[in-house]
Amino acid sequence: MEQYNIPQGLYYTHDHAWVKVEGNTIRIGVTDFLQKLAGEITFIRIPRVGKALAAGATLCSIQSGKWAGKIQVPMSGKVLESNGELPTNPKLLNSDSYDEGWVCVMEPDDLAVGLQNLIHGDDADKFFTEEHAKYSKPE
Amino acid sequence: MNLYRLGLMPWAETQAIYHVLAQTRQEGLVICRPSAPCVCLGLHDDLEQEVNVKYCQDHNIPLIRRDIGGGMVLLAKEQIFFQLVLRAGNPLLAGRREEFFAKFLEPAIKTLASFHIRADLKPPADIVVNGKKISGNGAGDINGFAVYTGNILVAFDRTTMSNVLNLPSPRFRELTRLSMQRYLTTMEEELGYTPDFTAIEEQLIANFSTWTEGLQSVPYSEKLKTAVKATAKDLTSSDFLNLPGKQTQVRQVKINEGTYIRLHHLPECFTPNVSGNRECINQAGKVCPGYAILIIQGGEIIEFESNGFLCWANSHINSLKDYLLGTKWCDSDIRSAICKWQQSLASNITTINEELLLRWLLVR
Repeated sequence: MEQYNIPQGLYYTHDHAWVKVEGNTIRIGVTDFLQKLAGEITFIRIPRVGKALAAGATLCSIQSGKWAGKIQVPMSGKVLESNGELPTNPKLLNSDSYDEGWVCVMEPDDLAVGLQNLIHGDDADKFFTEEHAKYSKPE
Repeated sequence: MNLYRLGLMPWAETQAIYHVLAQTRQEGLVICRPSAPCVCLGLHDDLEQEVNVKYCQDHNIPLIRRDIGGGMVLLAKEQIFFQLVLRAGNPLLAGRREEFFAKFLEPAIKTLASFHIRADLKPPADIVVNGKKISGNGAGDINGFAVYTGNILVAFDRTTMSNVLNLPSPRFRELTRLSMQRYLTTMEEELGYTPDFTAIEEQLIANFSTWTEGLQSVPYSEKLKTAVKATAKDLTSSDFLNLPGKQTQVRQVKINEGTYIRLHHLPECFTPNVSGNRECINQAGKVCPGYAILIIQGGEIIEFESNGFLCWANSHINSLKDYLLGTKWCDSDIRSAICKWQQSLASNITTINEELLLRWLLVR
C-alpha cells in the first residue's frame, strides 16, 4: 500500500504493533498506520524492564492531543529492554516508527506459538488494506 | 444504539460506565452527571505533578483516573456529561482519531445554540463561546472500542479548580484562577440564569439522535451497575492513580485549547559572582528565585509577570513586558523584543546576558 510503510518480514498485530524476530527475542513497535491515525504523538508510557506480561495485557499507551490509545502485549513474555528515548522524545514514534521509534524488546515464553497469532506476509497486506478502508474518509 | 440516560449518579460511576461498555464491547451513549465533585486525571497525567493531593484530602474531594486521554479536570454536578462508545469499525470513525471530535461535539454545540448561546468548535477538541471554553473533552481506545467523552459546563467553580491543581506558588494559583475567569465560561454566565438540566439533556439527546442510529433508552441494569462499581474500584485504586505520567520541565496549566499559563524559573543567576560562577550569591548556592509567569495564547505571549531578582535590583526587567506582549513565542521574535528592550534602556543598564534571557523565556 502506497499510503503506509509496511516493511516485509515483520509480523503485525490487530492493534497495529509490529513485531520483529531477533533470534529468541522480539522487538516491538507501532506501525506507520497507527502513527498516521494518531497524529502527533506527545507521550508514551513504556513497559517496565524485567516485567513479565501476559498476552493481551497493556504493553504501552500513547497520547496524541486528547486521544489516548494502547498497544497490547503480542505474546506473553518478559520485557528485556525498553526504549528510554521515547518518553522524552515521543516524536520518534511519528518520524521513525520502525527503527529509532522501537518500543521494547521481549523474551517470549513460546515464540513459535506466539507468532501463530500474528499477521504476516500476504495477510499483512490484506489486513492493512482492510484497515485503510475502515478508517479512510469517504470521498 | 443504547442510550443510558442516568441523571445524577455516584461520581466514580460516571467515569466507570463508559469503561464497562467498551470492555464488554457494547456501543452506547451515556448522559449523566456526578452527584459530588471529584478530580479526574487523564490516562497520562502525573498525579504528583498535577494534583494538590493534600487539598483534595482536606476537602474530601476524591480522585479517579480514566483510561482515556485529555487533561486533569474537576468534575461536579453542574456539568452534563455525554459519553459515546463506538466499535472500532463503526463508519462514523473515519479519519484520524482527533478528527471525530468535530462530529462528536456537534450535538453539544447545537444544544448550546438552542439556548441562544453561539458556540463554535475550536479544533481539535474544544467548544468555545467568544473564545472562552465551555466544554471539556477526552478520547481513547478501550478494548478496541473508541470512547469519546465531553461535558457542558453549566456552572464551574474556578476557585476549587485552581486549589485542586498542584501549583508552585500562591501567585501562580491566583493567575491560573484569573485565567480561567477570562478564558472559560459557563451556560449560567452566558445566560444570566441557571438553565434546566433536564431540558439541556433532552436537547443533547435529540441532537445526538440525528446521526446515531436508532438511539434507544435502556435501563441501568443491576448487572451493569455491579460491573460499573467494580471498575470504579480499579479506576480509583492507588496503583492506577499513581501510574507514572507525563512530566514537564516547566509547570504549565492548559486553560483552553491554545492557552497556557507557565512558570519559568531563571535557569541561573544573571549576575556572575567573582569566580564567574552563576550560582545566585544571595541564595547561598541555591537556585535563583527569579521567575516569570507567562500566558501563551495561540503561540503569542499575552501576559508576562516577573519577580524575585535579588541579584539584579536595577534590571528594569518588568519593562520587558511592554516588548514581549503580543510577541510570538519563538526564538527570532523574542530575540528581537529583547533587542528593542535593551535599546530602550540605553545607558540605564550595563550588561544583559541575551542568551540567558532567551533560554529563560523559551524553555519548553
